Formats: sequence, C-alpha cells, structure tokens
Amino acid sequence: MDTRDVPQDGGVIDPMQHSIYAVDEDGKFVAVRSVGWGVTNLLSIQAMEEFRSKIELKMEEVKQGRWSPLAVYLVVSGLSPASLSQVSGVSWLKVRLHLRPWFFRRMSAADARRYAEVFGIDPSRLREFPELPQIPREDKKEDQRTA
Amino acid sequence: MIFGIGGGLFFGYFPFIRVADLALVTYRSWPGTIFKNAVKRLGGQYKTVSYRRAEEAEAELDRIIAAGVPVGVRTGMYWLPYIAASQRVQFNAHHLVVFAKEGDEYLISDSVMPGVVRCDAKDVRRARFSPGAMAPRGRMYYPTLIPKDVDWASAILPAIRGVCDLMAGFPFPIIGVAGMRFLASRMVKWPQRMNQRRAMLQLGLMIRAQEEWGTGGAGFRYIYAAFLQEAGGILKKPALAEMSRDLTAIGDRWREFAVLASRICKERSEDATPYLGLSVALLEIAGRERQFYRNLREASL
Repeated sequence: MDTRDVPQDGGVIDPMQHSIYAVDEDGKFVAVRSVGWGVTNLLSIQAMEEFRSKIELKMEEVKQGRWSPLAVYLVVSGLSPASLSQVSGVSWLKVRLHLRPWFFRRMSAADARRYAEVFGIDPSRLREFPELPQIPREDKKEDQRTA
Repeated sequence: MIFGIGGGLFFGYFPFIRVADLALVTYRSWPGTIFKNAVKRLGGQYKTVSYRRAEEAEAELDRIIAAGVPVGVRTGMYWLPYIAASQRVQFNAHHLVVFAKEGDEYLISDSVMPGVVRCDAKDVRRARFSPGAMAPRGRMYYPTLIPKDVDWASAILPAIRGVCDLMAGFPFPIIGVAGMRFLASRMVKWPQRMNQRRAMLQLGLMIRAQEEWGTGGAGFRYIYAAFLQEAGGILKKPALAEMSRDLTAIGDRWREFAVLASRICKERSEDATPYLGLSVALLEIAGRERQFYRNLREASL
C-alpha cells in the first residue's frame, strides 16, 4: 500500500490509532498513523450492535424476573461469575445467588460496594440497569465516499 | 526488525478457541513468542516475573523503572481507561511498555495509542490482575542484557527460515497455508451451518483480527515486508528486497479480501454465493503465500 492510500476514517476507534506500514514515493516502508478504515469501522459497529442486542435481551429477561440486574452488568463487562467473584472478593456461591432476584434484593451493603467498585459505579446504581453502550459513528467527511 | 527477527508472520484458524462464541482466526502467534525469539536470536537476555499480590507487583515495577529500565507489562485491556469503547473486550494478553512514573501516573508506550499515554496506577494495577482466561497475574518482563554487537545474519536468516517452515510446513491444517485452505473450505458452508447473522459476525471477526488488532495492515504482511526490505539492505541481499515487494502485493490482496468481506457484511444478503467468491479469493491468497514461502526460503539461504 502507498502512503497516500492510508485511510483516515475516524470516529470509531478514537482515541486509539492504527500504525500502518506503507510505501513512500521512493519505495521505502514507513509507519503511518491512521485514525481508522471505513471497512473495519463498519464491522466494529456491527459487532457493537450485536453486543448491544445481547445486553437488551438480558434486560428483557431481568424484567421478566428470571435474573437480577447483576446479570446485565456481567454481560456488559464480559466477566464470568467466577471472574467477578475473583475480582470483587465476593464468594463464588454468593455471586451466583445474587444473580437471582430473590437473593439480589437481600444483598448486603458491603457486597454491593464490592460489586460497584468493580464496575466503577455508585453502589446505589447497582439496582438499575447500566447504561447501554453507544454505537460509534464515523466522522462525517466533506466528500462522502462509499466503503 | 524486532518483529521479523522474532518470527512474527503467522496465520491460525482455531475453531476450538472461541471469541464471543465465534471461531478464532488470528494473524499473530502466541503472545510472548516474538519477544522471546527476538531477544534470544539477538544474543540478549531478559527476565519474566509474575506475582500473586498486586502491591508487590507494583512495588517491583516501580523499582525497575526508577532504575531507568523500561518494562513490558501484560494487561487485560478491558480495564485500561483509554481503550476505545468499540475495542473494549476481555482480552488478557495486551502488552504495553511502562517506562516512567510521575506521582500516581505511569507513563506508558502502547502500540494502539499515539505518543505517550498517562494512566493512573490504580487502573494499571487492575489491568495487571485482570481475571479470566489467560490471566496476566501481574506478569512483566524486562531486559537484563542488551548486546553491544549483533550478528545480523545469524539473527535474521534463521528467523526467516523458521517462518517459512511454519507457514508452509505445519502438519495440521490450522496454521499457515494449510490453515487458510481449511478455512476457505469451511467458509463456503458458513451461511448454512450458522444463520446468516452469525456468519456475518464470524466474517467480521476474521477481518477485524486482520486489520483492527494492531497488525500494521494486512495481517502483519506489511510489517514483515518492511522487515524484509530492511534486512535486505543490512545483509546486502537484494533477493530479500524483491521478496518484500512480493509480500506487499500479497498484503494488498488481503486488503482487497477485507473489502470484499465487508461488502458481504454490509449487504446482509441471504444468498450463500458471496461466501463462495470469498472462499475462492482466500484460496488464491493461500496459493500466493505458498509460492512466496518457497521463494523466501531459497532467498534466505
């Protein structure tokens, strides 16, 4: 790839950047910064939409009374109950029990604080659903090119 | 240079390793192998340590960077605050270099971020002890011996031969050219084996592994071509520079493959024939790579 063809389709991986190796006019390789490529931006957005619908599905199951709100936090964070137990310090058995509404309602303030610490939220927010992740949008460009 | 001397170039199709319940296609070899091989071939030495307690891990890291030695640190990238939301996943083999500490912040060089990154010590501590699969357990590594002189030929040429042997000669069709061909044969059946949406996500994962996961473009083919160009100059082997041009062209084909795949994902058509076209494109790339490794091995003797 030539340096002049390195894509700069920003907005989806901010603040991260790619370092693309491309060939300059003398045929020598140089590393060029890229804020993104429309092709992979599209795929990342599709993956995020899938992720969001998984979260919404779990929220539905919570509304039906099958799971506690903690289950939604697990989906959002990608943690397994075993991992949550390890990183929060709450025993594995308690984590599994807290996933069910009956036990979740009776959770101690100390455990709520431990979970909240992991998810970076205030303990009072634990009873509500976490914020749904925003689907990123590509930056609009003056000359709109198709992928 | 380090990439090439460490081996670097790779392809793997591991249906038994799942990422978001999808089969893993990877263009990078097992975490740590490039660094290990590169240091060994250059005649250097390094030390790897892991820790049971976060406090000890942090104290040791602080001690070594205070002595002026940069340290490679393995982290779970989910816990790093500067990771983009679209890239934030549970992945416990994200490596970065910590080289200084100012107050409660570490100064970090991370390959996915421009310039120097400042990160709270608290977040780094959490990332170093991220739970789950392949947990980092505070693992860090740093050079203990940096050789003054390097015999470039003995560092570079065996590395190139190793890559050729692996990519063209691995006996199971999960790695290298055989892996690509196996994947191509499986890809045709994706729309009928999984539903259309899953097939699209599976394809998306493969392309993101190729272009989004820090590969320098075209699944590391461009970086390796840059290495071959540089190696050809240092060793005065113009054949390697020619191989560099061949690989760049192959890299361009991988990029075209990505564009084709994303078009299929965008259109979300119910038809299975696009996957056939994609499979044919992948087989063509596999054939080109096979010839490339044959030529490269000769050029590296």
